[in-house]
Amino acid sequence: MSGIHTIKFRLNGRAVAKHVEPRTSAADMIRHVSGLTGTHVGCEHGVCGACSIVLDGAVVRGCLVFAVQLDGADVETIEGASDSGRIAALQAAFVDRNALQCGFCTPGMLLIAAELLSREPSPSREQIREALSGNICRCTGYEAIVDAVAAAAKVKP
Amino acid sequence: MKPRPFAYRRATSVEEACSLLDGPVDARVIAGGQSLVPMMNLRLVSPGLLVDIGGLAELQRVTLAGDALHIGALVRHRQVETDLLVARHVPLLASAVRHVAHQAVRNRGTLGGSLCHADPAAEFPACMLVLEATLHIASSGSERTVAAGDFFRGMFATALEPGEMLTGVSIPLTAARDRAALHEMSRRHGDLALAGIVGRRGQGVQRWAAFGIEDRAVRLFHLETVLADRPQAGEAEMLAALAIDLPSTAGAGTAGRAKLVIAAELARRCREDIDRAGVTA
Repeated sequence: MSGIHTIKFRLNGRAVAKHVEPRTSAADMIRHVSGLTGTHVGCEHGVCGACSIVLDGAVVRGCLVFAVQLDGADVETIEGASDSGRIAALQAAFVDRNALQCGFCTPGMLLIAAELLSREPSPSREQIREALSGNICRCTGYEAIVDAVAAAAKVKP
Repeated sequence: MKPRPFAYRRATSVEEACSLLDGPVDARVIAGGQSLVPMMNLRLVSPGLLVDIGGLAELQRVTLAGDALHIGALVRHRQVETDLLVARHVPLLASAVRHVAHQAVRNRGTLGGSLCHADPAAEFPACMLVLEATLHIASSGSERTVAAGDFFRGMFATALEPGEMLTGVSIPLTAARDRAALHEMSRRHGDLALAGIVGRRGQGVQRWAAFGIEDRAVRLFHLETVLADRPQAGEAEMLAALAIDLPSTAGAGTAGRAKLVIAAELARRCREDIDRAGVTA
């Protein structure tokens, strides 16, 4: 009864078409159908932020959007953001500051940090902490991640 | 977890959405999905049909209509946070939204979704109570309005009937321009409130509501009366009023008593903000 839907959308700048069941999440479709495994699936109910994707220009939870809802949308994953170079300063700062250990939360952290810097180029540490508060890291204790975002804000042109 | 299988339809008009909702299948509206999808993934709800209203542009606007600000049901939290009309006419909502979840959830969640979900701990239902908003509801072939005070019926329960959907809210500008404040207590920033209070004070008007305390957002009529008589009423007086306004909390032993004390302190902070703010327009 659920049927298969054909959706057309842009994924990291390329027009794609996929066949999906309504109950497939955007994150699962991106991982299992498109093979882009940088989008991680953690809690599957919107708490951890590991599945973050950029949907029509705004960071959203990939587990709280169904793939079928992406018809006509513009989607960017961590792979697209990385390949385009738009988060290069953040990535360099994460490496410099050892702002990751296992790397599971890192794609989500980078995407939300990039959105913060696009809205607020010189954020306070408080603003950085608030922006990252929806993304859970079980390794670093966050301090290094906040440092890295603050450092990237300084080098951004 | 993954949700149970369901059918999916994307509505192209309010009329079509209503007729889809009116069918034999257990249908639910999906707007931003930020409350519904977690519940589906946890299998707390398993609708047979999702009617996606996300493409209805007419529900995504904030407009001035006569003596009210109209906010479409699909206006996202992020838009409430940044919209110039909201900032100018209902600054309470723009400040309340900063307590709602996190950036990525606010990018997608909608005002209408929050109201229809009717989480007892959500900020927007309580704001609608103190702003005395009117909710616009559509169904196949007809429309009706419901006062915010009549909309919230219990935990996750509203006045919406099967086949109906919320299309927007109207906030009277006189109410919106009064001084107002919101305070809440939560364990971490962005978590659901353990207790919250929102208050508005205008010319001879006191409107107060609590959230995260009872099974729904609750108007605090006794507190309003006390504050109308004695704007600087002390903590004991406010506590006594809250105990009448929040009966099931008052009767819930030590934990309930603790919540009332927290609520009284939050109300005091709201009053302090309102006193300090001067006349906001």
